[in-house]
Amino acid sequence: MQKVKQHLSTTLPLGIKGQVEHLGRITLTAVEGTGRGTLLFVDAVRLAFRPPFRLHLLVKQMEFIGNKSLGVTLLTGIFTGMVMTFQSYRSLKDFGSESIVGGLVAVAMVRELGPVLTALMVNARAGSAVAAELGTMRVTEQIDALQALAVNPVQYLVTPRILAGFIMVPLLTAISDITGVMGGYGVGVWLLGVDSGIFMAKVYDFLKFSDIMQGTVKGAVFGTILTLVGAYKGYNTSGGAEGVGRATTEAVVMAAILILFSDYLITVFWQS
Amino acid sequence: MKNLSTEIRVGLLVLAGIGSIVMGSVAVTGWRPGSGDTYKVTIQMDNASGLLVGSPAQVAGIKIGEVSAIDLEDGKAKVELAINNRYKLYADTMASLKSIGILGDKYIDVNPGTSSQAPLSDGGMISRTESGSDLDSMVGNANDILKELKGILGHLATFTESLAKDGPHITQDLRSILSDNKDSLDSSFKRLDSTLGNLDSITGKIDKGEGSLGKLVNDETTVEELNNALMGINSYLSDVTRLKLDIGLRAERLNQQQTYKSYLSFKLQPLKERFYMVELVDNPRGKVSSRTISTTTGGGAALETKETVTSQQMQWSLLIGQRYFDTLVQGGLIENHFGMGVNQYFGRADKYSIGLDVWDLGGEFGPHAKLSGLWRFYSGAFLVMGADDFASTNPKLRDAFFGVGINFNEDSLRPLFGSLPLSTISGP
Repeated sequence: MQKVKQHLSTTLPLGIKGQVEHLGRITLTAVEGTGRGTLLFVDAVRLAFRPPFRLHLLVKQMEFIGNKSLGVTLLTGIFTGMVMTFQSYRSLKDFGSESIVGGLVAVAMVRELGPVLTALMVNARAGSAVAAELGTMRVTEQIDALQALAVNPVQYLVTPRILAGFIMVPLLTAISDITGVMGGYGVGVWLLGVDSGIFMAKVYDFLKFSDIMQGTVKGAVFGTILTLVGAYKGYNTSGGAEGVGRATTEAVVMAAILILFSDYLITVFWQS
Repeated sequence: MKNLSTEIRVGLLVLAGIGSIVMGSVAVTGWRPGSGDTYKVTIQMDNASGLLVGSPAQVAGIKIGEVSAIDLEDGKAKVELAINNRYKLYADTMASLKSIGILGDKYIDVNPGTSSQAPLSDGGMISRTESGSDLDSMVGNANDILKELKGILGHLATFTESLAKDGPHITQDLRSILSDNKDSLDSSFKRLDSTLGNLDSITGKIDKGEGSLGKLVNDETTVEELNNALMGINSYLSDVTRLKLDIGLRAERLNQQQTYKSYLSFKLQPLKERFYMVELVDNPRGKVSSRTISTTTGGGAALETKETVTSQQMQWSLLIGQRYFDTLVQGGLIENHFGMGVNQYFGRADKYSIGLDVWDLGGEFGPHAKLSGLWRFYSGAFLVMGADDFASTNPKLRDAFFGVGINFNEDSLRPLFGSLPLSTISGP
């Protein structure tokens, strides 16, 4: 009974004044987080052009974010292309226009599914790892140690990760697009019996250069977002091992939301 | 893979990624014949709806180039095509806008012309265009039809409205007139029998070409001259207005009076269901009145005799008629007196009709009523018979009549001038 009372007193609202204060605190935290994240990003970009250039750190991060994510990206791409072909073939057959399935899958992959799914996969794999790594360094005071050694921790830790994301995600996206179209080709031509020449002709017919540009720009933006959010959450971790876990989760969720939100914005601005 | 350094592995991935982007871009952009060796030709089109920059130009279904620019010039679409150098177009090239499938994209269909003509060079112009029979024009045609249909329905609505308003009155009036005059009708019909006998002799006379009516019917030159004159009048009138003119000639034999009554009528029809008629009637009976003559005989006794006098042999009818479906109502001046009438048509092309006209309501012997049946055995000629003045209080005036008539209008001129385009007679 005593326990229940205590529980209620902590969870029950603290009156109108308390609620307003609570709301204000949440808003302030969100605004503050946005500001600090942006400042971190500006800092990291600025420091990218300042010596010392630690190229081996960048290469290491590119390998971690790029090469290590390649397998999962290829799988995502090929299966997405196959599923897309299957699904759109069924709908298109109702209109007697199943021959355009190749063009449809290619456009969907290159413009939307390639960049978004690649970014989400890389976010789940590498974004979380970035947050966990930096978070652990923070709570074990390794970052403070770097500072004590007169090494800028942002330049040493954050800049190479953001750069690696910025470079590698669009490249992964391009590879994922191609495997997606290949997967679609396999299902469409070998399984569903669409003419192979028509399939590829429609791919070339529907795709425009601006579609490829759009996919690449999206990949670069998403790569920057997922590494930045991971780095920010890890860099500002507090509260020991529990804090590291929380930072990792928050980083993945927030990066995923921001990726989808920015995807919408880029699509809208690209059309207009 | 293990023995490859990190740098090499990253480098391979970067190269693969960049390679993918470049490969895709080249495949997408370099595929089109629009880039590379092309020459430009322009087309002036009335309609370039749905056409985009990059839309294909095809000859016999083979892509030879694409639309490189679309612009508006002097209210027409100026479409510029980039044609691959491998394909030649000639001076008599024809281009048309077509669509792939019913919802498909638009493309320019090119007929490259004949090789005997000079080939088109860069900056050349395709002057011959053709509007394809695609969905757009089909929808356009359907739109026109619907517009006309709407107008027709509008007319129909007003038509039925006025019919619903006037119809019951007309039938009621007709019924009351018929029942009021049942007796006189009976006696009139009896006389009709003898009238029929006389009809034989009249038609026989006409057939032989006797009399002016016979001449008119039988003599080709008379008919032709009359028709030429009518054509002139008709074309003149149709230039001024679009009135239809119908000229009628009619002769009636009054059985008891043993006289002939002739009519010359000009009927103007501004609308199909309305007419204005001016009719000149040569009426031997004329206006009938009675006067008392006193004659003094030798015996000194004055003998009073009553005799009927006829006057006014030439009479006028001015009528306005309105037709509701197969019922015609007319009113105005009939033989110098106000009156009105109802006509009911039967059969195809109004072959038969029954009519009742009543006028001279204040006449000395009561209103003059005339019941007539008409048989239009030929589009320009008819037979008529009936009972004249059957409601008269003076039994001498009750009479049966029969007659023949001809009338000239567009319909009757058509068989005579079958090969002549009628638009020259009656205008558009």
